[in-house]
Amino acid sequence: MSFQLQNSEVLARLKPFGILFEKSLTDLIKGIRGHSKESPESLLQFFDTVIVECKNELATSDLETKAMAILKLTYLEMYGFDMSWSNFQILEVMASSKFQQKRIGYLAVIQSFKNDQDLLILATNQFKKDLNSYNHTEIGLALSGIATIVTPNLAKDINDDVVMKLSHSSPYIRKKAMLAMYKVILQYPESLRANFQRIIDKLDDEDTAVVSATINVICEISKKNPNIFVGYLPKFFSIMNNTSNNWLVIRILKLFQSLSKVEPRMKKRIMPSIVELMTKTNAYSLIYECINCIVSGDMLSADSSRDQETGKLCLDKLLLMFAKSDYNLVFVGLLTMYKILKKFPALIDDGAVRSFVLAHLGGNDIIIKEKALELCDLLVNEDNIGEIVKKLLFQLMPPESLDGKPSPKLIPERLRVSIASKIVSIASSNNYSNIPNFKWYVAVLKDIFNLSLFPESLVADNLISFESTKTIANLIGNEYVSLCIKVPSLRPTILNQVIIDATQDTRILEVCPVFLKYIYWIIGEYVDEIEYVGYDEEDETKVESLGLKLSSQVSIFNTLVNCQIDISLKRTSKKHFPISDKLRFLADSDVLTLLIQALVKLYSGILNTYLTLYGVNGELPRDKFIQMAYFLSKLINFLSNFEQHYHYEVQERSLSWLEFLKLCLEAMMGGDLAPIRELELEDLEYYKKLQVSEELEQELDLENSSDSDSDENLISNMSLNESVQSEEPEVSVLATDDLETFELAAEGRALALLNDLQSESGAKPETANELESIPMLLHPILSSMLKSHEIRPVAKNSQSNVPFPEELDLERQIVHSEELQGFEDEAEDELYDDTYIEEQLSSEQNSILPDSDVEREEARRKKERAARLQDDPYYLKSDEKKSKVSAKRKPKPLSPSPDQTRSPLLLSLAEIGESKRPKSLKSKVLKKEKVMVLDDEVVGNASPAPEEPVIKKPQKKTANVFKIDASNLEGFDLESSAKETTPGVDEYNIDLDAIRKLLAEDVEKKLKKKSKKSKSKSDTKTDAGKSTKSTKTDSKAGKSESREELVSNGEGPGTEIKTKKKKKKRAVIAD
Amino acid sequence: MIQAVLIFNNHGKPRLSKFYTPVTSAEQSTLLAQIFQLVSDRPAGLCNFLDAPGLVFPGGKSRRGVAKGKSKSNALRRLNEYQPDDEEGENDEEDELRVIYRHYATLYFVFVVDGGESELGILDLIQVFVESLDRSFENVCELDLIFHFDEVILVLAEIIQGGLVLETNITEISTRFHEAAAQRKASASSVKEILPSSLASIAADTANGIRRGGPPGGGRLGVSTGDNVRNVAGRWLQGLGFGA
Repeated sequence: MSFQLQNSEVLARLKPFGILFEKSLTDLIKGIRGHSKESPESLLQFFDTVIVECKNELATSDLETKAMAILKLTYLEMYGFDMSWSNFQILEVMASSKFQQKRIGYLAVIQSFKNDQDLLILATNQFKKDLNSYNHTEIGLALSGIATIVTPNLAKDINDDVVMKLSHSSPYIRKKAMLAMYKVILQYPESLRANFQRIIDKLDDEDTAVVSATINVICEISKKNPNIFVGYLPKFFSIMNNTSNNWLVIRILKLFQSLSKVEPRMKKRIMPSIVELMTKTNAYSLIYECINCIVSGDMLSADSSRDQETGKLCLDKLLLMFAKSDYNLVFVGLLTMYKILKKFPALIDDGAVRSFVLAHLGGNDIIIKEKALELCDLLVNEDNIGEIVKKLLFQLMPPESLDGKPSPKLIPERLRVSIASKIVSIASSNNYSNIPNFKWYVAVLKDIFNLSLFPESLVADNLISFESTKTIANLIGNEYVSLCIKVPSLRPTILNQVIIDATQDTRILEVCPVFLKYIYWIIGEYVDEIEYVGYDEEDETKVESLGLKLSSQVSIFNTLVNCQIDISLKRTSKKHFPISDKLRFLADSDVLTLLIQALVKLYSGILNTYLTLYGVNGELPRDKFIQMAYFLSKLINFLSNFEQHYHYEVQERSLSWLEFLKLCLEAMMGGDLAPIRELELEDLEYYKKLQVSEELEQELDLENSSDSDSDENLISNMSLNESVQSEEPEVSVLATDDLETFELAAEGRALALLNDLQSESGAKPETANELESIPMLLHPILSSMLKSHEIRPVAKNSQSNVPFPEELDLERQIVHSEELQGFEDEAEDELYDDTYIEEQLSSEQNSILPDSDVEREEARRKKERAARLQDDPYYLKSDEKKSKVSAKRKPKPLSPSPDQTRSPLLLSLAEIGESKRPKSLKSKVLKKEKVMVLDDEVVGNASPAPEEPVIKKPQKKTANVFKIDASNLEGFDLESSAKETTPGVDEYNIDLDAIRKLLAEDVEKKLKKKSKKSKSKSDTKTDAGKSTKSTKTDSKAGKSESREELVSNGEGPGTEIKTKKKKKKRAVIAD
Repeated sequence: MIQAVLIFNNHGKPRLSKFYTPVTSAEQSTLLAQIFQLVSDRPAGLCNFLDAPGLVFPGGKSRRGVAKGKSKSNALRRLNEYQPDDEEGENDEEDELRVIYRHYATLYFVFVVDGGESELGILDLIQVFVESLDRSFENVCELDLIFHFDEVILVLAEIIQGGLVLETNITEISTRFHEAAAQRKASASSVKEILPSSLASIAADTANGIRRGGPPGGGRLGVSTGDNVRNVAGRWLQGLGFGA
């Protein structure tokens, strides 16, 4: 022991000489600066050596050295170096009697202690000792330390000492103790109960700083649980009126904001004063806080005209603030303006507001822009939506710098997403009621998509993250889908202007394959609605437009499916069908599942167009028939790529469709695949030629124009040939991914088809082509399966409101068991009859039988079956079915498919196909600018979710993403406030009740009974409330309940404690 | 409540980082980098408030792990985390974190606060902080902050304690600071008593030499602070009684 003492003494004496070996903080910092200039590696190395040095220094017994080492480590902590390993030494330094060292110790504790339980136990004594020091600065140091690192245990132990300091002679200590109290209370809520009065007393402290600190603490607690201090409202109010310290006033205003949530009646008393304060003061921060208190404290009610006046006054004040053109004021102003306008939409008509918001929307501060963006939807009406959306779209374009080139600085991703979603939400609000012209809107959506995802200026692929791309793609995609569903007349426009292009666009596949999900869905669903408007006046042009329709359908089909051609040609670069090729390896299986479905529908659509164009009584000329078969085989080829797909859904869908399609193909060609081969070879030949000609072109280095010229020649040549040969290679011509050639091809194609038609009508079918009938499996079964129900928009919660059918009795036995046995075999036969064998037979026989015979035969069979099915439990009789279905959802047969009544089986099949889609009940039509927008359908009279169109969902999600961290910090505080609520509710709500009681006229009588009830209620509630949230809501519920009691009976709950507290309350109220 | 006070220079080098909620060192560096990213992008003359949705500010709960630094992964994680709790919307606004900053010469002073603080008030508070530093160091510049980071923390401790505002009166703040400094010197000189007096004076001289002789540069904060800020702040600060 004595040796050690000596040792340290010696060291201390040697210190002046040892300065060379021990580095001070200054040396450290200089070292860091020096080394960071050299290289990051040398800096790291330096850090390493310094830390080792510190470790060694900490191992010495000299406190001065240790303190220096600790100080250095604390500095390094800022650079991200952990120093928790030195906790014990920190404690040692903290315990030093020298203030300088103690200070360093506390500094280190404050900066680095992170809830290290063991050490805090040791630290507790040190805290206690320092708290009771005679030196004010040391007490202050200890209080700072406690305020930073307090834990539940420490709080419990240290509580009494801190409370004592509340009545210390120095105001400096008092205010520090008060703030430290807050942290203690957070960790140890019991303390609030025990020392409540002492805290309240500090509101009367002679030192403003102490009062301010007290208000500060009360404000923070009230944010978590406003009920506790609501009884002292009058006190706060008088402090506010009597002080000239704006900091304090702002604090109290913040406090009122929280309190008014639980005490709505206070606004009557307080608001006039706040308004007065607002008009009198010159400090903008105070003006703003006044407005904010009124608005955020929910003191304005939307239906009071006086409140509206106050709102107007606030708004005027805000506009006055804006006139200062200080961006900070603009920022906070916009925040509150939003709240005011939301409450009083009428105030928007003030032109100043609108022009102000719009001006800032186009401003150069992105943060302000975002705030203005939030305000946008409040400003929009049918007249100005065009202007506002235009303004928003402008924000998506990269700002142009002075020399006219787009500046390299791109719009931040977040802004892009929020602008996109804002435009969509503005437009789609109220079921699109603000949209003046839907074609305009489609163009807007297209612009958003291109501007935000494919900015022209830079190679921006990497600049926008995958997530945001996905968000925007989902947003726009959903919007297209919902437009297609809700606005039937818009479908051709969307298909022509958006979808067809989108399917040919390889960029989409690269950047945001998610978008294709929606595109494919729309193709599948509305393939029949590709129309070329303006053509359908005369008969002749109608045919032409049909031809165009067919050509687009076919070209989409080829784009998606034709990868086999590239494979056969062994093309690796410059593929003819890059999209189809890439789709095979697409990672996004969601897209693929939809694609598979869509392709089948697309095929069925092509078939339908063929039938209307060339068909005679549901039969096709031989050549067309073979073409259809060829398409089918291509489809089968393509789908078989997914037979082994890793994603079960893709695999499942492709396999089941493949099975079906192979049956169809067999039914069509009956095993003779030679004609298909022929077509395939021709196709290949053609593309080979195309390749060669392309290469030639490349060699000759031809201009673009001549390029397309030659293409056109080629196409028209081909189509001429085609009409002679009655074969059809040009179908594939269309499928080049180049848009230009596509259009030309479409023209050529149409020509060809016309030629075809003329030649056919001239020569009549018998000459070159005998008719072939399409197998029933493909038509009508396939198309009716896909098309028999139209998809309608359905409100969000409708599904749950579907009434339970009255006549449905699940208890009643439909069939007795002995009967059942007999039916089983029959039913099995039936299955085969209905689907496979029958179709096979009919497709083969029908070609022999004349039409009328087929029909007759059909009718006869139908009748037979109806008779057989009379008693079959597996089939519902047609009339029975109808009534049941109508009870459920009243389907309106919009496109009456020929076989609607053919057999119940078909119907049920169709239903299976459709069952995952929303069903319709009644369509309420909303007329707007000659465009029909379907309303969301509602089942029954139960109200659906408040106007949440399908699009709403992704938006909400984006909003969430951007708000995310809002409550991140909540966790720590809230958890503890949950504990704190527990005592708070059962004790302090009595104060509140006392006030209420005084406010209410007649009290007395029956109190005991009522109060007991309410007390037991709140007791159970506090017990139940373990988690923060539930406690909060529970206590709220409890409050409102007790309030209701108050209102209805005109009496306040009181308890034994009430009498005790009552007096005090009265006094409080009096002043 | 104030969640954090940060000072960093134009290159993002930390000069002070003070977090009032437990945040691990790794998280601190991440946050610092994120905030620097946010703040340094903004040209002068724009508003001093930033919503900070991208900040991963860990609360006391452990479920928020260490931020991985890349905003992409953050976004992903947040997406995943936030899908379930949709109904939190109301609380969100109240506890939205906001970054409030001021830029003086070479330094950014950044406060991260929750919804309970008055934005304009905090802006004033930064001003109070800077002026207090100015008084404590007599024409403060970046180098002062670098070489006396401990004293900067002490000044801050006189203004904010545990995330709550303690004092806004600059005179009071600097009085307290000087008081503590005097005590520190007194206790430090007691060390020197052990030494022979001549050696002590040498030591003091060396120390002074080191202190004064720091590398030049870093720009005086004081001048620009004084004028620039007083003008900016004065416009709407009128009536806020921190001077009195």
